[in-house]
Amino acid sequence: MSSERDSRNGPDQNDDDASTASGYKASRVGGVDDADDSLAQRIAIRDVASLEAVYNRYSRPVYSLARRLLRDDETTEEVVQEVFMRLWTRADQFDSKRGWLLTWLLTITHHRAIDELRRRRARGQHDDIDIVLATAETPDGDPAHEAALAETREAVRRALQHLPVAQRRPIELAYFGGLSQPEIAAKLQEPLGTIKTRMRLALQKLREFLRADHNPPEEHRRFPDPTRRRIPAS
Amino acid sequence: MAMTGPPSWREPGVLARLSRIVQSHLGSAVSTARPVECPGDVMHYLIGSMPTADRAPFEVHLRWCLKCQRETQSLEPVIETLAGTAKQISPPEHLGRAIIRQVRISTAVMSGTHQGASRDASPFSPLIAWFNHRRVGAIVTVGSLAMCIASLGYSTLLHSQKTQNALVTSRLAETLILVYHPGAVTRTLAGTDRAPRSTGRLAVIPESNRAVLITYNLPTTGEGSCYQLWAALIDGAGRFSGGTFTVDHQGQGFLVIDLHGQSLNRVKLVQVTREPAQGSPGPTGPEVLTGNL
Repeated sequence: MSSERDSRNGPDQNDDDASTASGYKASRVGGVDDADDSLAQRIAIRDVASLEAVYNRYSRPVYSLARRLLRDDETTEEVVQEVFMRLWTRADQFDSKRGWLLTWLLTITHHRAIDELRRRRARGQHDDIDIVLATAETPDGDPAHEAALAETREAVRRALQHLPVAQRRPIELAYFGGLSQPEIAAKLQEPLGTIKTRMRLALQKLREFLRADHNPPEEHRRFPDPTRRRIPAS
Repeated sequence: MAMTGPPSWREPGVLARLSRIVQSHLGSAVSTARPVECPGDVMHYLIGSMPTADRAPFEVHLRWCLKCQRETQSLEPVIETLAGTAKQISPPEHLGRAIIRQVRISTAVMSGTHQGASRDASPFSPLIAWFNHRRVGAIVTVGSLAMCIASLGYSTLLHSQKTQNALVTSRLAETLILVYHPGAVTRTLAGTDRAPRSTGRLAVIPESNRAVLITYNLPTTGEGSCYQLWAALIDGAGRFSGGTFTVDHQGQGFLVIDLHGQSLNRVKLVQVTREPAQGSPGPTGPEVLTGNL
């Protein structure tokens, strides 16, 4: 299965990382990725090749986020499959004027994954949240990939470290643990109002940090995929 | 002695009250901006701390609230940043193949053809091909619709008060006329996560600018609520209510859609949400059906 049309037109296809990054940069001026937008429009009219192109472009960050939260290959694959099936059936709900396709996919992935975490907690099958959050991020053994990600991760690390622990912790518990605000308040033994205020402050600071001089170049905030993996022909 | 006169525009609350009055009289067709009060917080939605049950209603709200849309955009770099802290792992190769195979099968079943899916032959393919070849599909669909409408009408008439019978009958008659019109075009509305087994069939007659919705397997609403249809216009030009309806115990309902003088060509998306019994000026409840026109 190939995506020849998208290989010719898309900004991310078959090029080295530098040209890919600049392609994104050029196409996302004003916060709108024209290529993503047109891909979503073609998916809405049932163009399988466009879905393949989006999968090739974004399956890695989507899979990585789900795997980070769920820590279980089987459920991760189920979630990723659900996310791309939802893109297939609901592509018309994506509106590039309202946001980026990657953020839309990551939000769906995140919600699906935390729903699963909440189900596990309800069944008493959850891991200790502290263990989940403390899970070490180890290199995946691909030096080229690690090098490409190093700068992005450094920016992310700086942004998060910029926050006081009291503000960072509720964000981590919510985003990676799927805890609701009352649950976070109970866990940290703080009033609910305090937790809400700290989360809001933390997000505002992160936003400002990313906007300011510390803001990494557009291409570094993206998820480079030097392996350029494609769906292999079946 | 203090004199009392008409309220000033600057008096606290006057503008909010006026806004509510205008919204209640003109409906959401003219209301594309934020409602008086947003039902949730973008931050909680994006960060994942919003309870699961509150998410679907908020997503409906997010589609038309400009303020929340702007806030979402401003938080996008933060969300990508948080997601970027995950170790980047390539998905297994079989996953992409499985997704594309599933997509092709679903496309073949939905479209009634197995074109392009020869490698992923669905077990339903021979049946679908036979239906297409013999045009049995169309006959069965029309017959089923007629039976559904007849049974729906029968059960509705049995359980309605006498004073409502005439109205129901006339709407049923209009439904039948629209559905059987030779120029009718049908569209399917898919059930959302809130009602995954539900479907809706929209029969549209483009030249006469008339449309009717028939629903199947929608959850019953109870006395205090109803379903409300929303039609979103192209180019973000707003949305309007197409009317309210309820369903019988089998989840079947029908609605002759009020287009408020709008052209069907300008309608992009149709949604059905659950709302209070008297309907709402804008969508507030969970979305149960959605589809493109």
